Amino acid sequence: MDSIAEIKNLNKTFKNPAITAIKDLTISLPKGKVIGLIGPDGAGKTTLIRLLLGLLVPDSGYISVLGMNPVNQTNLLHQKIGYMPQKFGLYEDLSIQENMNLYADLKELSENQKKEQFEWLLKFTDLKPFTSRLAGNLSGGMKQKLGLGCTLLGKPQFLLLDEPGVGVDPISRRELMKMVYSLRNQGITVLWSTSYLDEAEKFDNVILLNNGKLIFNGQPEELTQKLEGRVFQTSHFLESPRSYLRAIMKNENRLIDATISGQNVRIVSKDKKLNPKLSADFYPVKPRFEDAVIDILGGAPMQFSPIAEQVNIKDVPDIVIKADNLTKIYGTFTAAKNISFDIKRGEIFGLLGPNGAGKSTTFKMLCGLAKPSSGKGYILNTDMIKNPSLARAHLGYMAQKFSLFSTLSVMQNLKFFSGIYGLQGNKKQQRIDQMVKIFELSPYLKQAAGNLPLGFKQRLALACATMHNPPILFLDEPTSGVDPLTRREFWNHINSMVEKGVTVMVTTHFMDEAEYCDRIALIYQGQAINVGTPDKLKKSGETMEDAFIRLIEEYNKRSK
Amino acid sequence: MRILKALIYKEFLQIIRDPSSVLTALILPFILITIFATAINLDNNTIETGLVIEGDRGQINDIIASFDGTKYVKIYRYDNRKSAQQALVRGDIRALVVIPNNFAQAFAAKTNAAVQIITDASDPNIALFAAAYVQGIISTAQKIILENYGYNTNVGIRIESQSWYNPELKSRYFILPSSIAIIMTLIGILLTALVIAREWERGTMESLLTTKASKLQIISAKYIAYYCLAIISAAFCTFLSIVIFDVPFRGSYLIYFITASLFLFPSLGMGFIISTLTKNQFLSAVAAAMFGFLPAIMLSGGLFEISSMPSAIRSLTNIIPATYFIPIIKNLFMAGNIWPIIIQEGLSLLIYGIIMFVFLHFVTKERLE
Repeated sequence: MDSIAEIKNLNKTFKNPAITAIKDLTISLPKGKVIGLIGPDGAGKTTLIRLLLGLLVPDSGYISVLGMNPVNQTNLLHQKIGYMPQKFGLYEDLSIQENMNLYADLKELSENQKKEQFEWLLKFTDLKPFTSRLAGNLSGGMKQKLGLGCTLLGKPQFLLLDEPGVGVDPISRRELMKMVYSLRNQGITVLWSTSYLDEAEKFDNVILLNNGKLIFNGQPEELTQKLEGRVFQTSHFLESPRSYLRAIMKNENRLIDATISGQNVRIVSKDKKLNPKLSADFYPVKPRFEDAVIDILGGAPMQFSPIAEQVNIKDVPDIVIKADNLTKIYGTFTAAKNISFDIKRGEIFGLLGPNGAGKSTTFKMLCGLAKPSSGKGYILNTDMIKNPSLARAHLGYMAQKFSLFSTLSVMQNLKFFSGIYGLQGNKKQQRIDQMVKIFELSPYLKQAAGNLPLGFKQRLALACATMHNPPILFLDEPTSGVDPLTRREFWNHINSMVEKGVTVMVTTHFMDEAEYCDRIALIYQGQAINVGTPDKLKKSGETMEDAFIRLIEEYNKRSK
Repeated sequence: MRILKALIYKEFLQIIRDPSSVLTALILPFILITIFATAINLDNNTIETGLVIEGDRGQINDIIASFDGTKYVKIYRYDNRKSAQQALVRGDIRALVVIPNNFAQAFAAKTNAAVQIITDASDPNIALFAAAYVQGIISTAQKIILENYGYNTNVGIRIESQSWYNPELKSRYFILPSSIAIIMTLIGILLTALVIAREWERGTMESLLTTKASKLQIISAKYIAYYCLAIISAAFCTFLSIVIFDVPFRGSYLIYFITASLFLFPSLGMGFIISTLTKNQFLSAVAAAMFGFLPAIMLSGGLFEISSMPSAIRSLTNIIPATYFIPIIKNLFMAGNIWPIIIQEGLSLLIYGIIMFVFLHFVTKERLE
């Protein structure tokens, strides 16, 4: 097969902070395919793209793109390729037309070419009615299309898209994928990087990176096939999937992964043979790409978290969190409109929805960080508006990007958070020691929190948030950008706390994580358009993402 | 050429659509010029004044009475000249009025009766006002004496004014032109410090680097666009000074335009360099204030005399572009076209600007490292 790029023994390190971004990488990218570049944050995806573009110079090794050396023949190469950086590389204070004009001029298209390509691109991206709108006022999906449009000017042979799906709702993401495939059919090769493993199955080819190393290169089915016959799901709804999960984690040693999926439990076995005791309960299901990745990475941690032993919840009412017609209006923009739900004791409640749909606003109103324009919020029967500080004392809050003090050491962070939660003296020291033990932080105590590996940052953030033994946990995108093993470990902690009666409200972008929730509120355009159990939202045979898209499309139809 | 034109057009669109750049270029100068122009108006302040009366008192009581009758001057009495002068040196008083031994005799004899005023001119504004107040009060006293005693003392009292520490008294006319130079520094550095960092933060720089645009074109487009904005801002400041605050302008406007342009060259460059090195809007705004604006206020010689600084600091003033422009602009306003200064300082600005441009070209990378 013809290749569009060849990479041999490529190495790239950064000095400050010292990171090995790419380690001895050898791959060949096939021509005329849509290639997924997949891996958690920090895997080396962006570095690899920048090396291919000649924006970075390798430490050692060989790269050739379209037969050119990106370092010496940068300008020549740039004429043949299109690149869409993260955040799309658009000028937000320029209109769609002005952005396109600028990039057309920078690529020195002739007037005729300009006219012809503009017409084609505006049609291709459906942006024709909006050409005078400023790029900053476009939705995530439209920005993404415009970014792609500008990249396509000059008819490149090779497109490199760096995380085009971030911050974009699943419908737009699917549309973009469709557009990319129509480009492939015109002979363009596309490299698409993403940290979502569930996107992998859609690509012709997949390059999977972890810590700068190549884990897999080939067709996604090749990898998934290996797991055929090794993935099972419970055949009937379980009363308590979480305690069932704990039981099999404890008793089974032939499993490499076990997760909750609505009211079922899904397991991945080391081989095709299943413990006869289990085979009555389970039936085989189709493996997913993520199962295969977990398999390659050596399996998920299979013991339940010791954190549960420390949890002690008393005097908690049945309804722990109550949102009553919460509405937030910023100027003329309604960020949240009449959002209502009850969250019961010991429940995991998920807020799902595209960026900007109103998830974070709802979240902030319920933990007293934003004052609702109307409506009420209660935490343990305490009015969030009248008495925010009292209500907040019952909360553990883990913010997006973990919000640790990055220049303080791990120990200093622990001390600080235990201090602000009012712990003192012996009790404080005891609690810190427990956290260090549970989350295995002792090798890192003196290291600055900002330099920790992402997984440890997440552990530390969870330790800080649960320091005061709160009956309620608020988790705002706690696992975004984290590799699947670390995510499993994180959910282990959460599940064991929930079993002891802790109530959790969580926002997430991961569809499989949505299925760990007892109930989900689907937030779209500021409204909770559906609330229910994952199994109720899904129709039979649907994945969570299918359900998500269907519900939004139904809503769009209704509101038209 | 076409790429350059497209980039310049883009910069202009961004300037027009970004309210903060218009705010920085027009509203901020307006506020600053007004502050600089009115800050020297001390009408409401009390000036501590020492008074020494040597010899007998006679009609002097009337003069003292008129001092006490004003809220602008607070009188401190001293027994002798020496202790009063020490108080002036310590800064307890800002001005000193000495009525000498022979005053009463000279006054009675209707010969030259002298009153001496000594002001602390290290702060020229206060000194100027102190002297003016004291003179005004003495005139009032003369009027009172004339009315009450029938003496016309106009002929008799001669005021000898003496300024300490800064014999050539500066007026507000000197301060406004310097402040134009300082404001231009602010505009030049602050506006530009943000723009390259913004391109990095928003990821657009990465897109630009993968097009045909060269770094020379990217830099030049920014220079040209922000030069236009800053020169409009400078013209606006000049207009305010001349028309609203009545500062005379005695030089040639053409020379002013050329030298102002030469001055903007290194200032803009400094802002772009800060922006390129930090790649972060917040950091570069702080850096622009620390390395651009504050030194221009304190060390350029606009507000504080360079010649009165310690020699180590004096040599530091050489690295501030405004240091070269302030002599030119002061002379253009106050004196006219003083060619030796214009040529010498103008040449320094040109060389400085070229160094900055070359340095910027050097630190701007076509790759991400």
